[in-house]
Amino acid sequence: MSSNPPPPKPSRPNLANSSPRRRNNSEQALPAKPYELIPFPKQPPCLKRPAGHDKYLPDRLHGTLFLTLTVQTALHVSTGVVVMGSDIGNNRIPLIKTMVQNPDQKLTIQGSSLKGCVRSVYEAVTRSCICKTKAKKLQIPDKYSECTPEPKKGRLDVCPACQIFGALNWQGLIEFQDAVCQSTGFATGFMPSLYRPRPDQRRAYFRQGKVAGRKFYYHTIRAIDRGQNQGIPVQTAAKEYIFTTALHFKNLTAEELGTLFIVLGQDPQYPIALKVGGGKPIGMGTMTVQVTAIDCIKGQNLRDRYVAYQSPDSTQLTGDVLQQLMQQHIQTAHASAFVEKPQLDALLEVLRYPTDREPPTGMY
Amino acid sequence: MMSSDVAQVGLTDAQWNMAHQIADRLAKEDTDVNELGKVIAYLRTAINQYGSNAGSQFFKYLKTLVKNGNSIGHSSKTIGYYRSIDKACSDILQKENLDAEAILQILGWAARLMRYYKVSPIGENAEPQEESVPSAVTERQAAIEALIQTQTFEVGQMIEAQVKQKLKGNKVTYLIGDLLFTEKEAKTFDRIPASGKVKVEIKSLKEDGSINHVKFVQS
Repeated sequence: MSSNPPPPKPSRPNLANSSPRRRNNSEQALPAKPYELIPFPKQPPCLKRPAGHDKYLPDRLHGTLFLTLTVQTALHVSTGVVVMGSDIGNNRIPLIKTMVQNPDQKLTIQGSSLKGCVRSVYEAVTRSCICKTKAKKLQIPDKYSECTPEPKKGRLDVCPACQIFGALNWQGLIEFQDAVCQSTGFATGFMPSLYRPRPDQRRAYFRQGKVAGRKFYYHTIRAIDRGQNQGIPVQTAAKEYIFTTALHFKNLTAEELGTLFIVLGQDPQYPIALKVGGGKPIGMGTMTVQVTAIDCIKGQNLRDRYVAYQSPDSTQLTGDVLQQLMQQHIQTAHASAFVEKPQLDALLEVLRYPTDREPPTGMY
Repeated sequence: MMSSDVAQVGLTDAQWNMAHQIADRLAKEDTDVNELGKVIAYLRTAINQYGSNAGSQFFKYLKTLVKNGNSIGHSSKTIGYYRSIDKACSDILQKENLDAEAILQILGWAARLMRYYKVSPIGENAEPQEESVPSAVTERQAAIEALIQTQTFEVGQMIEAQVKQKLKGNKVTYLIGDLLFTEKEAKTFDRIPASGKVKVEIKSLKEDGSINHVKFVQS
């Protein structure tokens, strides 16, 4: 046994043994939560047969978006491995949680992490199912259960998000490449011990026994710094680090692509930023997106690409032409009612960036 | 790195023994198997980074975890887990001068075995368990057994039953012997009295000869 007493822990609210009335009072006494639950649309998910991958449909949109992601508050997407500081060239830190680095030692955000982040916002603003959840089956609102397409039985109808991001048995229509940092090196941050969500102790997670909404964390002006007793240093991408990536899409409709632009924060009416990686409650992971170019293929170009040995002249759009195209698709999405306005408005209040919100102090 | 080397695929008897020892010791000390998983994850990355020197880095890592466990752990128990893992690895693996690949395999198996030993500790699973196991025969099964022994039943046989309850959805609960049977009586529901004795017909039997379903015949 060690003779040194352990350092004091942060005061985590212990609600386990409190009565419902007292629990309610404890909740009220705590600081405001750094997240919000975005309610589900009034109408259930609208299921449709997806476009498929067997051919490029002439009336649909195909191509690549080239994205630049700028870190606004420290970003950490974990590998899950804690190493010694000396392992990554920093002898002053005993232990550190690592991020993925590519062979050139550049920080990398896995495409899957980006995809999940974009998907969650896309799901929230469309009439989509709840599939990426730990909620129990009985707690899912009626008709919001996970889409389960069964191609062999001819059952292919899925919700808007599953159509383009994919579902079990169904490959989606967009692909995310890993985002690679443009500069070499990394920063070291600190992540206080974060504790698990406690849906069993917080009634706000449920309404009449069903999940109340989708959980999104607010952006804050900065991530909280050291000062907590418990926690671990983390390898981070610091503010102003820039990542680049490409997003390939095929067989999208104009409103689907328009919604994707809205989710990526390209609608001036809805200036939202992505919240990526770990440490969301303490303000980490805010990234703004810029679409730098789009390689959009449509109609005749498709045929040219197949029949020519060398690819035809570049179809990349940039600058004003790109902006016009994006705004055109965004307007199409709004006009078609594909995007649920109440949900988008609610989400804007949470994901709006820039913001003047301070990160929470202590345990919330 | 030669992780796919044929010689490394299997463990020797001595190495198996080490895996069992580590698993047993950690399970008895109630160590969190997820913490052992994280240690294994480090060893895997260390092998990629340091090759043959990964073993020494690994034991250095375990000491660092113990030293800094208080601040990085999420609960006061975490430091105890680190101490247990460090002690088990140092006592059992370090003195054997194993290479990192072998340590990785031994620990991988130890983590799997830990889950097993948590349920069935080593050396204790041979003891007879019968005395502590409660009787598998429930009251209902005993009542069925008693009913079968008193008389033999056949499909179509008319027997006497007592109406216990009339339920919603045209269902009636009959008492036959000590057993209750709830049957749907769509056609005859209105003719069945709310209580008292009635005649029922046996519609089907179970494999053991006991009654499965009955139908109302007359009051």
